[in-house]
Amino acid sequence: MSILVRPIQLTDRAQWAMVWADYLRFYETSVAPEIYDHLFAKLTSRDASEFQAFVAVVGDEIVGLAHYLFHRSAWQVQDICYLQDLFTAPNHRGKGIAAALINAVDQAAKAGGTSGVYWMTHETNTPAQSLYNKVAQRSGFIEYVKAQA
Amino acid sequence: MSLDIRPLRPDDRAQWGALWQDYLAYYETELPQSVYDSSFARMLSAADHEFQGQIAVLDGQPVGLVHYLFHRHGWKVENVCYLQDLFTLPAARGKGVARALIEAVYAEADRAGAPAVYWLTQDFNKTARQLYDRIGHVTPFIKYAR
Repeated sequence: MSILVRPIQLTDRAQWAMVWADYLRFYETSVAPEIYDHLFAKLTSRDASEFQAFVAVVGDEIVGLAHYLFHRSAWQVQDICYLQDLFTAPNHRGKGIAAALINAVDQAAKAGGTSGVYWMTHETNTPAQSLYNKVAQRSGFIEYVKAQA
Repeated sequence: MSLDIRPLRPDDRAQWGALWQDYLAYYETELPQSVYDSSFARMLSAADHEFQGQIAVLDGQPVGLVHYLFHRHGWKVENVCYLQDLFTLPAARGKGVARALIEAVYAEADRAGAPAVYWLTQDFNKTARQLYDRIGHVTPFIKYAR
């Protein structure tokens, strides 16, 4: 079985949406249909100031995705790369797909002149962290948000 | 005591630079002047995709700063607000400066229609977290980088 990681393309819309819905479900959330349209348009715009994406393909099936954004950091002149969404379909785990997606984002981040890639993960997500601890550093930073009124 | 939070101005360069240097020293970080110049110019540019900065002036003296950025979020149509840097001079702590700076960013985020404001802090930074736990709330998310 060979895994292909490639930039997302317009014909991926239906399969990408199913994979992203599964990802969002993992976070016990869902978004409105117009958010799918909005994000997919950004992902396929090939505009380096918008979200970009890689998909992992096995055969003719999309089995994973990575969404990433280059944005400013006040600490440097070059941008930094935020990997927001990373997902592998449950029946395709353990095959190195997530690592391949992270590598693809890392290469794109370097090619785009950014200083590196960062991402956030849930503190209880130990399967993900067992990979992340191999390919990245746990920074010691935690996230706070404005309390909703 | 009079506390004023206002956007950075061109004539703040020297005092802003001194504050930011102190902040970075807390993180055991030194940055070249080119980054000070670049970040300051970007914050004054008022461009949508650039950082913005506010300064806290206590009884006429600059004592604190905040740097924040509106950026895309894949799950929303609106941009969200990332508060990257927050600092109060040690001598001016305990006077509500940091809270006022965060509240100024909250107000800017509301004005810009940003549905979320977030920031990162070291998990062991107990002093900062005492304030953050009052004015925001901790998420279960932790940062990885490579």
